[in-house]
Amino acid sequence: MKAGILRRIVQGTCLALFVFLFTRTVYPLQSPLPVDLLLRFDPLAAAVSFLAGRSIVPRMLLSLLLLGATFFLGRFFCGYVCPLGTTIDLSDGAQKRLGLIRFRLASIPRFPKYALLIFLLVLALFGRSLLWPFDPLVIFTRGLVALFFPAAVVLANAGLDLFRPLAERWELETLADAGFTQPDISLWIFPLILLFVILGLGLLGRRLWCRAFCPLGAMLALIARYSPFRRVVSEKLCTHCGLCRRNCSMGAIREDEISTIPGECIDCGVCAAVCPSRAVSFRMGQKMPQPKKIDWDRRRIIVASLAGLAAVPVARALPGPAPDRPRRIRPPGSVPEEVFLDRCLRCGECMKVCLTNGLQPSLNEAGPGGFWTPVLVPRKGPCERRCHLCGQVCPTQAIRSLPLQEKSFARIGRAHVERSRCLEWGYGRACLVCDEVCPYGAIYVGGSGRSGRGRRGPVVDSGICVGCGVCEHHCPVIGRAAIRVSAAGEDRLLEGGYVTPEKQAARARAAEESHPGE
Amino acid sequence: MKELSRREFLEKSAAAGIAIGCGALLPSWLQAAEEQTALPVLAQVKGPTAEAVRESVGLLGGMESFVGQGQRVLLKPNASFSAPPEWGATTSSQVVRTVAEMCLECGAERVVVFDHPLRSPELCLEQTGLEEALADLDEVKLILATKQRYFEPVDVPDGKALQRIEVAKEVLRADVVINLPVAKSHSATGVSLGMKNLMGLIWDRGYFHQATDLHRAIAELSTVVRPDLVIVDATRALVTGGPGGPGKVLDLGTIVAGTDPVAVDAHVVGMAPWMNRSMTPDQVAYIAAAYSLGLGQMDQENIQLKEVDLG
Repeated sequence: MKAGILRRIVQGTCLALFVFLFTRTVYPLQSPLPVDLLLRFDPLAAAVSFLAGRSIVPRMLLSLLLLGATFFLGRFFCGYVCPLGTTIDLSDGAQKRLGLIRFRLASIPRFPKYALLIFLLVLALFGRSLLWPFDPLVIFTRGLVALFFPAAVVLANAGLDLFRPLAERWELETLADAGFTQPDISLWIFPLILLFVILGLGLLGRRLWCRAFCPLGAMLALIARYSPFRRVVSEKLCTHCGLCRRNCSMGAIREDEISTIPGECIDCGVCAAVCPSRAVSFRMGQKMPQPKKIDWDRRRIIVASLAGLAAVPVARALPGPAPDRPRRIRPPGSVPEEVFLDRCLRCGECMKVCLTNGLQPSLNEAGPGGFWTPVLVPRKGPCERRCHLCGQVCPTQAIRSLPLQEKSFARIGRAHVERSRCLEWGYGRACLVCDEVCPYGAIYVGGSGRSGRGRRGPVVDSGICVGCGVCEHHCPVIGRAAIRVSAAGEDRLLEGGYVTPEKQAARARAAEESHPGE
Repeated sequence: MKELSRREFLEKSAAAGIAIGCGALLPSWLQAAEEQTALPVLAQVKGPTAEAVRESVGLLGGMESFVGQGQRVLLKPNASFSAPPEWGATTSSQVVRTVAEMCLECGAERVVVFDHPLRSPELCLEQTGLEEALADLDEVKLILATKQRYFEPVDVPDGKALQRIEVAKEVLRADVVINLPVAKSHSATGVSLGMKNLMGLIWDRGYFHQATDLHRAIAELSTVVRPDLVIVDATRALVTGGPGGPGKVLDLGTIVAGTDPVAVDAHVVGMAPWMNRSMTPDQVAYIAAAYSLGLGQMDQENIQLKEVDLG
C-alpha cells in the first residue's frame, strides 16, 4: 500500500499547488510561480494553439518538459499530477462509497481518445481550435473559475454573515468587517454540465474519461509507449490470480496479467501493491515484452482516418471570426480575432484575475465561434487603466502581456453617447458622470447649435477614448447606459506597439486642456 | 455652468465695491463689535503639508477642541480614483496621515478612514498611497466600501431632493466626523470641495444624478451628514479635467480648515480659476443651495480668515 499512499500524497500536493496558484490569480499578482503554470505545461494546448494560430507562443514551450518527462517516465502525469485525474479519482471513490455504482461497462474502448486527438490536431491544421470541451487542464481551470470559486465565496460569505451580528455585538471588528468580493462569471452552466458529464462517466467505469476520451492522455500515451520505465511482472512468481488486472483503474493490464497495454499505464503502482506474490514491480530500462509498434489493426486505421477526415468539413463548418460584432469588446492586447480564436483556450484565467469582474464569457457577443471567449461587459465592470493582469495570466497569449504604459494605449473600442437617453442631452439634468469618471480625459462638454449655446452634454473625443468602459459602467441611466462602448476601431496587433504619435498627441492635448469644447 | 453676463458682472462688481467701501468707512468701534459676533473662522495655511495641516487646525483651537479621549473618529478623504497623487484627483495621503496622527494624539480610540470609491478599491489604495501611509497606525482602520452592508438608510428631514438616503454606518457610529476633501474642478458641479466630497459616504450615488436635482441633493446631504471639521487639501489643485483627471494641476501648497461647511467651500472657490474661469461661490449651485438652506456663510465678509504662511 506504500505506493498508494505516496501517490495520494503527490496527487494531493499537486492539486493543492494548482488550487493555490489559482487563488493567487488576483491583483497584484504576487506569486512564487506563474499562476498559469498548469496550462503552460499542456502540450496539447501548445500543439493546437501553435498549429491553428500558425505561430509559436514562447511560454507554452514549457510543455516540452512534460513531453520529455513522459518519454522517460511514462504517463505519470495522468496518475500523479493531472488535477482533473485527481478530481475523477475522488469522484469515482465517492460514487463507490455512496453505492451509486449499479452498472459497469464490460469493456471500455481505448481508441476514441486517439481518434479525438487526431481530430483535434487535423482541425488545428485547418486553422480551428476546439479544445474547450476536451482539454482536461482547461476543463479543470474553467471549473475553478466559473464554479468552485464563486460557490466557495458564496458559502464563505454566508458563514461570515451568520456570525456578523454576534461579531458586531462583541465588537470584534475584524470579524465584523470580514467578507470576500463575490466573483460572478456568467454562463457557468456550460462548464457545470461538462464537468457533470465527465464525472458521471465514472458511474460506468473507473477513470472512464481518462481511458476513453482524454485527448491529452492520448498524446502522452503515444510517447509513454517508448518509455523505459514500466511495469515488469516476474513470470516465475505470478500466479495469474488476476487481482492486479481487476484493480487497475486504467484497464491497462492484458488478460495474461503479464503484459501491459502500451501507453495505458499511469504508473500508479496499485498492481504492485495488491500482488500477493510480489511479482509486480516498476523499473527502468527493461525490455518491452511486446513489440513497440502501434498495433494498427484495420478497424483502427479506418477510424483514425475518418476522425482526421471528419475534421476537414468540421473545420469549414466551425464558425470563425464573426463580422460586425460591436459588443465583442476584447481585453486590451488581444491578438487579431482570427488568431485570438485559435489561441484562446477558454480557460477563464483572464476572467478570474480581472480586477472589476468585467471580463465575462461570451455567449454570442463574439459570434458562435467565440463561445466562452472573454469579452468586456462594461456594465458589470470596466477595464482599469492601471491593470493588465489578463495579459499576464493568459497562457497562450491570446491576450498579449503588455507593460502598463503600452496597455493604456491599446484601444479596445470607443464610447458613443446616445443623446436621447442621456440625462444631460435628453433631459437637461446635471449629470456628466461619464466625464467625471473617464480616466483618459476623453469626454468633454459640448454644445449643440452654431454658437454652442443650445443644449449641452458629454461628447467623446474619439482620438483619446480607448473604450475602457468606465463611463458606461457608471452611467446612472437605468437599464441600457446612455454612453456605450462599441468595439469599432479596436487595436488588434499580433506584435508591435500600440503607442502611435497621433494617440500621444491626442493624449497630450487631453492633459493640456481637458475641455477643448470650452 | 451659468456664465456671468456682462450686466450681472457689473452689478456684482459694483455691489462688492460698495460692500468693501462701506467696510472701510465703518467706525472702528463698530468693526470691533463685529469681530465679537461669532463669525465662522477659516484657517488658510501655506507651507509643507504636514506642518500646514497642524497649523491650520491649531488656528481653529487645536485638535483637542474637536477630538476627545476614547472617541471614534471618521475621516473622509477622497480616495475615489485610482490615479497617482500628482493627478490631484485624491486627497494627499500625507494629509490623511497627519490628521489621523493628530486624532490619536488627542486620545481617539479608533480612527476610521472611509470612502466609497468609484474605481477598483485595490487600485485606489495602491495609487493614492493611503494603504502604505496608514499601515503602521494600528488604531486606524481603512475602509474602501463597495458593499451595501456598510450603509444604512437615514431619513432626510424636510428634504426636497432627497427623502431617504443610505449613509455609511460609520458616520452614525462616529463621535467625530472630519471631512478631508481635495480641492478640484468637477465636470458637473464646477468644483468638488467639502460638501461634494460627502457623496462618498452614501451608497446610491446614481440617484443624485439620475432622479433628482444634483446640486440641491448635495446641499441636503449636508443637513444629514455634518462634519465637525473640514480640512481641504489644496496642496495641489486639479483645476481642469476634474474630478478624475487627467487635467491641469496647480501647485497651491495650501491647507484650508474650518468648521462651517459652506464657508470653507465658498472660500476655496476663490483660490483658483476652475475649469479655466474664475467663479464666485454663488455660481456654484450646490454652495448657493446650501447657503439658502442656512447651512453656513457664503460671503467672504461674513468669514473671519486667519492666514499663515509658513514659508
